[in-house]
Amino acid sequence: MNALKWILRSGLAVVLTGCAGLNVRSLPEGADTKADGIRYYEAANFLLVYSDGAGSVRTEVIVLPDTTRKMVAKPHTFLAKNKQTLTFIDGMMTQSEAEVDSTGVPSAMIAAIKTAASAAMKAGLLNDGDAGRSGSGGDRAKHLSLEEPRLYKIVVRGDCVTLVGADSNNSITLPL
Amino acid sequence: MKLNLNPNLNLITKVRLNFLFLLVVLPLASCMTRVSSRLVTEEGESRARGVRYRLPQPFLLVTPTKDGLKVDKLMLPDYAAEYALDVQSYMASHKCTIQLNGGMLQKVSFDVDNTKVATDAIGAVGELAKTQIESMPKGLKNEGPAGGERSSAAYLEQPGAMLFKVVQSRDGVALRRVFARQEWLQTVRKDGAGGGGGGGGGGGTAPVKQKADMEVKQGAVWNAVFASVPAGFAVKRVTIRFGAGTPMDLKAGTFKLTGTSLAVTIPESTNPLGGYHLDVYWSADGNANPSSPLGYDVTVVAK
Repeated sequence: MNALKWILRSGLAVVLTGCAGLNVRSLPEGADTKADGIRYYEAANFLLVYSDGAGSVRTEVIVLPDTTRKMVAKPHTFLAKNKQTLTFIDGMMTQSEAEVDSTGVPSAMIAAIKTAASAAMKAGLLNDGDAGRSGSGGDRAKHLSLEEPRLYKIVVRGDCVTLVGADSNNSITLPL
Repeated sequence: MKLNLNPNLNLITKVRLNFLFLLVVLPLASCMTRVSSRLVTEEGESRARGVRYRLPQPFLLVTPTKDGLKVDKLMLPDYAAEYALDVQSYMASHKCTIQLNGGMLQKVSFDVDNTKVATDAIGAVGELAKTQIESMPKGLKNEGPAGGERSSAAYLEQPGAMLFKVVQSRDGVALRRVFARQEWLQTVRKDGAGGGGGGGGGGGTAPVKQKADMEVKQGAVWNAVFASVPAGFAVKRVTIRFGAGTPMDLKAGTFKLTGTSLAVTIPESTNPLGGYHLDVYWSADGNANPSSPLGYDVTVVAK
């Protein structure tokens, strides 16, 4: 009978130690082949700058998946109940989107970024790195033709916002 | 694992108790639900088990309107990032629902109860546990490879529309313009000869593009490899144009299809150097409606 009790206790202990949850981690480059879990991208904020066709510049802040930051979510359940719903919008987990918003661009900053970016574009500060398209001031807006919308990644560090363009040399830091 | 049983017990009782131990503890240890999602590689495509989904690739669609430009963001499935999502339960009950939108993951719901079977097992310890194993996930619906296929070319049908791929790297982000290009070849059956992947009826579609040279020297050979070449189809015409210029027909004999490899000799006189667009026109014998050309972007450099 002692052995039977021991068996029952063991079983009970195992049941009580059951667990459930969701492990989330970022996926380092090159680890995609071996990693196991549901993939999604972290969200990031981008500044879209384009011409309205009449020579003036339009700016818009958009949220896109950051394809350089791939994440892996792996739900696990062991002797437990687990009810989870993972919702994705455009490949981004909606829960993560809220986190990014808090660390990315506060909504109050967006208007300031758009204004500063428009001014920077008109002043020729947002250089596209194309030597064949030199020019400044109003010419810059004219050169931003239909074929050339620009996209900048918005990186907020402290009191400064850096708009990163096609490469790290093509970026501008705007004080807020 | 071994039980320290009372030495006074006889052998049969010991065996019975050990059997009971295994009957209870091992099933308990295996009561779990496993969610697996792995990258589907070209080599392991047939072996990978589970619902396929793809990560999105962001694009910007720019269309001219009366009031200026209209810019919309588009999320298209990235065919290079395909994953198989598989859910399995061992001695547990679970309900899993996976929703896809255009081949991309939209919602994954798990409702797992691993304690149910465990509780049942404990309750039945005195009378030989009766377990129910539900290893197959419920509610899974495989959308299939063709379910979410969409071609970016479809978005370029509006006059003046331009599509830009958002290319991100650690260093920054850039927009790369996407030109209309056909990724799938319309196939038409000829007297029952059979098209490509259509299966039956009047034909269907077949994937054609696989890889192509991005850069070629003046007078050198540009190579493209097709995923498949439907029976009866042949390359009849190849044009080249610089930027938005007028396309120029390449002379017959300067392009040749061997198996699934196409070799096109770029004229030595190609000038200026830079970005060109090649259109490869297909036709099939007896097919009155040759399909749209396959478009390729290539940079011509000095020899």
